[in-house]
Amino acid sequence: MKRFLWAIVIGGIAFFVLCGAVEFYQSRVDNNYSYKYWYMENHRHEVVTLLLGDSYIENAINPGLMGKGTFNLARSSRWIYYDDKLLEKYIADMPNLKQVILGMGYKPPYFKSYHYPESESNEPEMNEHEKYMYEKFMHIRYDDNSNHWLGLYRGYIDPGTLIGNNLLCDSLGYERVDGQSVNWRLEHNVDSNVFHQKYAKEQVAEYTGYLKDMARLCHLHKVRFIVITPPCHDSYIVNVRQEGLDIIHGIIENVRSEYPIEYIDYLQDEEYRADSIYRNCSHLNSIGADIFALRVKKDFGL
Amino acid sequence: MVINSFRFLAFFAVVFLVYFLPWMRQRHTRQNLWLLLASYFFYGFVDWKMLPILLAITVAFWFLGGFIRKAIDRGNAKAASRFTTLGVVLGIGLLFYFKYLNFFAGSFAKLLNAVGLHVSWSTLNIVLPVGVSFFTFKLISYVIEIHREKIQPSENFLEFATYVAFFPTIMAGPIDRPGKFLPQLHQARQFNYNLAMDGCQQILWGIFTKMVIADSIAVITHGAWSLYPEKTSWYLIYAALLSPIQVYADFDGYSNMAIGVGKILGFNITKNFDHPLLARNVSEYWRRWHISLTGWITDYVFMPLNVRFRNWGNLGIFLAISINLVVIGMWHGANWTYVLFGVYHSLLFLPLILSGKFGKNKKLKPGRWGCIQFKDLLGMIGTHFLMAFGHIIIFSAGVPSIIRLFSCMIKGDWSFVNPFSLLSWYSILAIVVLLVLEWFTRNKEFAIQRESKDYTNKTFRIVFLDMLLALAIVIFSASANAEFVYFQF
Repeated sequence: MKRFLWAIVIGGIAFFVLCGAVEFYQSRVDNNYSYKYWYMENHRHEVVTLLLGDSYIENAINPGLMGKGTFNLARSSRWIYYDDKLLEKYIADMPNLKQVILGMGYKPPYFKSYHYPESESNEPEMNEHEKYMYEKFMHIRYDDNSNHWLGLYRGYIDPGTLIGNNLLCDSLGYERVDGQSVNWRLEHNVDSNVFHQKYAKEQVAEYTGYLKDMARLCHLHKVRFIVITPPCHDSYIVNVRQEGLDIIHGIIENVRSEYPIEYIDYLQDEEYRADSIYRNCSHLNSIGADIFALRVKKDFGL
Repeated sequence: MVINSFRFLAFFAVVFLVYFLPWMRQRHTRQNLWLLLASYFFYGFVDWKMLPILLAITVAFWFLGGFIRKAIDRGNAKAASRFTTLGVVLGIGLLFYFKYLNFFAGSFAKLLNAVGLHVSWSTLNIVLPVGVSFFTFKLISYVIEIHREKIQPSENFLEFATYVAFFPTIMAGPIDRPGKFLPQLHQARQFNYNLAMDGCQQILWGIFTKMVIADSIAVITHGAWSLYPEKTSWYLIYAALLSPIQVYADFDGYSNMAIGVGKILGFNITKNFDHPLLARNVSEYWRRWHISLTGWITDYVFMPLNVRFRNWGNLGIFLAISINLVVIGMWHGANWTYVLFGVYHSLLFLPLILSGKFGKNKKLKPGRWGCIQFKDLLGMIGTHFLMAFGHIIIFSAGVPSIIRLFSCMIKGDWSFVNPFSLLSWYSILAIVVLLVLEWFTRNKEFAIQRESKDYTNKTFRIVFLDMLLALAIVIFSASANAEFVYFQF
């Protein structure tokens, strides 16, 4: 028995030492989260236009074409909670900030579960990976979780890139994606009844709350608050329903009734019908990102 | 509280330390009482509302076992048969009520509606007790074995209740037979270092297959079964081909963890898998897959039927197998897909029966350099494809979904998808490791088991290698932990 317990203790110590070594190594490797955090901590005073949102913005707007002082703080798969918290954290100390541009895709307001969003039985769950990455590298915590420490430890970009560079964005926070995915017309497609999912109502309400708070913060600090719905390919749009569009436009109207908000819906815009500008059916590639950046700049007079 | 969670680890650490206290080790009754309390706590933690049902059914079967024995002792065979039948009906009735009542009521109402009799049968909202399919089979087995005079009824309720509720196996098996398990409860378990180390290795391997392999593939198969209209033909084919590996890694992973926990506590639990990926035909597959269930069904369903149909030749064998497999299918749950799954598998037996090869499996022999012989490899690949087809049936939401899924697969978008783009490189590597180890460790209980089962030498090296594997699990396990596949059954 003693021998067994010793083996367990020695094994446990060895395990934690190994984990510690990997953790130490990981902490020395930059990633999008740590870089964006570093940038905001050190260069937030220079930012004039701040881009927020998920992959629809992170990969879809090239800040280099939007004028000096534009920084892309958006992060793939994030829930709007983080945009709100980041804005709350930095806006008071951003003297040059003129506008905040937030991406609002067709699907995100309805759910925040990214693992099995199609499953009716799934509780509304934030993407675990995203939760831990924000906590570990941007110091914003979402909630308590039973597997918190394990999750936090495993908060890597991708274990497969343990050896190598996890920093995928450029110095302005833009993650460039060239070409198209295999099977791109189906990848990231939307369920046509996404807005009827079990927790959709609750999540729309939650989303509206955060959006309103962001509008409030911008209003308070005299910063323009711009919301855009990025364009999508026809293969995505066939699944888009008017009922869903009414809901997202309703969210904007709801916020507008209390705070100033500028909004343009590019989802079905005629300029974005070509196949070549898409990485997959709902995300622009680098060609599309350049075109879209110039268009947003022009439309909002940046 | 699932077996691969930190909660379980904390729970088990307490159970283990108290269980082997010197005061406890002196008497098996104390150990059994502690195990029973732990098992009821574990079960209650998952679903406390079902605890009274578990307790009530345990009491009922304990008495039934005693009545059967008394009737046999008095030479009253009729009464013994009646009590046994009562036990079987009670067990099946319990399963029927919790698992199948909604299904049959709904199907019956549909049937009446189809012939023009409009009935509205609103189905009941019956909550399925966790592990009911597993502990019910244990209980039925208990009364049948007593009736067959293979075992004596347990004189000690504590032992019997511990057998039924034994926490490592109550959720998803293996389904231990009373003849094997009850005698183990009848003596005090002393700590056995080699057995405990073997158990630790088995748990670790189980966690690896579950969290690194099964959960990675689950992302693909879940997507395929629920979103098939949006997937390409190649994607659906890959998902179907990966599904048998996923379910095996998942269920074998769970079984390994349960058996490993049992070993640490000093128990020898029935093995559930014997390298099913090495099966060269469907008959061999069913001898290697979910052994504790197939063994149960073979003993209590197939053998009696086989005897009854023995004069019918091949037709009799086919009928016995078909009923056997439909029962196995139905055991999984209440859906016509499970019935169809059984029918499909029984049809796969037909060529074996007609060619006279049924039940005549040659032992696997290695070819040159210890590798698989080409003919065997072809058999394994063929069997894998047939199993993959069966997985589409069993994991579809309903019969119409099966048809639609096949339709999407055949008529869908055939643009090529690189199979290596679906999984990360480390998941693919883990699958390859699993497949290779399946062959090279086919004589072992689990892949990383020590040949000699002696862990007294080179302990430090073993522990260090284990920790490397544990680290690999932490780093490479899938980010989404899917529920164990067999929890739904």
